[in-house]
Amino acid sequence: MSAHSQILLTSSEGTEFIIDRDIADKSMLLKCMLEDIGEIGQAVPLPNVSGPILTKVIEYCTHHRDDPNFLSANDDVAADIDEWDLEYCKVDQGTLYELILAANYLDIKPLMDLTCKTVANMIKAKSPEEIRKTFNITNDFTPDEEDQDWVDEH
Amino acid sequence: MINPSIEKNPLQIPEIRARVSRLVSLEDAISCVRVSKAWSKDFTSAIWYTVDFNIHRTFKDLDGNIITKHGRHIRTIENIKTQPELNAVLRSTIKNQDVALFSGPSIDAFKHKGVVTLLAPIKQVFQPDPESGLSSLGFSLLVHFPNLIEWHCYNLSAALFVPVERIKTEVTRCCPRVTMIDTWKSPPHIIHSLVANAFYGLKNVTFEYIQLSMDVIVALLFHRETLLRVCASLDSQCSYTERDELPLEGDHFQQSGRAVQLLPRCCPYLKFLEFEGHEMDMDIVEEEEWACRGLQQLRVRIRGLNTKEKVDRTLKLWKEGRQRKGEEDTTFIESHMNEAKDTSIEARVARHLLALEKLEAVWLGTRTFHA
Repeated sequence: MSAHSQILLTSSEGTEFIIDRDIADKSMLLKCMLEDIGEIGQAVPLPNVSGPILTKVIEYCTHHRDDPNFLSANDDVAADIDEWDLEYCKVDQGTLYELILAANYLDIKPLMDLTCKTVANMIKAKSPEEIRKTFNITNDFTPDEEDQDWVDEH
Repeated sequence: MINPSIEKNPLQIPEIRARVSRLVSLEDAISCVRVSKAWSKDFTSAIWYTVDFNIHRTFKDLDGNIITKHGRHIRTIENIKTQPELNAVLRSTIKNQDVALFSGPSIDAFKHKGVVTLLAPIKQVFQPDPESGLSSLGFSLLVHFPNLIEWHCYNLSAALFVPVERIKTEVTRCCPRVTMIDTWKSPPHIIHSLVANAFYGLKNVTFEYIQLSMDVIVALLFHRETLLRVCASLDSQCSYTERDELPLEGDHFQQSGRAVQLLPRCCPYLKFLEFEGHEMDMDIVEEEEWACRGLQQLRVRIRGLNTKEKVDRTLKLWKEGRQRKGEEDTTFIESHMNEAKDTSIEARVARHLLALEKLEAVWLGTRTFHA
């Protein structure tokens, strides 16, 4: 096993995480930071990511560590989510939200795609009212604005 | 403990909503635009991103206002098949965006039935939009001109822009009535390729004399049963062929001059033979009869007729011979000519011209003489 250099991360609560360099590189944010600054002995602080979420994110990146397609953009909307990823996303809505935000902040595109696809699946076949309930969104349309018949092109 | 600053619904972030919008189906996007004003903005583009005429059949009937309002989201239009669909898509709001149009294989291209002449090089015809790549579906401008008769189809570079089989297929499929081509300054092997392999039943072929080669003559002979006119034009800048003096001019094809005779000898219906750059040798001409008994106009120089006076004398003899023919019995004329046993170059040429009974106009180097 080749010796990877290691990176120290600190979550918002101050918990420390040690991860291998190649796993850290899955995050474009960390990758660029480390390329610019070089090896730093100190920990990289991540004030926007909590410990539990950071654990989940590291779990994802570790599982996809050797995935050759990881960095290439997968814009294939129709592609099915693989089993491991499906199980990975079986979390409560709050956790899912935080994962999206963390993936966004750390710039991990495949994880963004995965979590957003999960959201898309939650929207599937729901009516507007059901969507509002699921995601806790207020309806700010006036009654006559709601009537948009142009949508009937379909 | 969760940091309160991140207690936020990520779907309130427009970028994330936009990302989700690219992942939902059309039906779901339609539901999403009704959720809230903010959602409406982000999911509208998902609905309008792709218009596929196979699926959205009523798109072309949509109210103009609607298209004006939302057309700017359109990025891809697929399977256009008819003119009305194309019109629906050409509205200004859509045109101004960076929209990709994909037509289905059976596009009903607009046909200009009145166009009979086209002046366009091969390259332009097969790649009308220089920015786009060569269409593998094989569409060319020819699809718009079903009644095309005359095509000035030049190809100036050394290689044909598209394989000649492709040109042949397109011509046969789209404009089978093309019977006249003008290859302008195209090089000899291109002329050969086009004449021999891309067209069928040509009646009228024009090319630049300086490009004449054996290949070109061979290619022309493939059309001997239909050829009416062969014109080997001089440099388009030279409009001096009507002149009073006879300048000394070379002929690049002199060595192979015999081959040029194949044209009048083998094309029985030829009416116009225009080879001003060529100098015919009467010794060779007299070896065999010309088959084109209906020749109406001949434009060529003759070896030996190298002064204006000789040319004038030839034309005079021809004119007189025609008048006598009109007045008297033909057998008498022939014997009269033979009695004279005039073997001067002028008489030989005049005899040759008289044999072509339909001949109306002759150019031998100075001015066209009309009978």
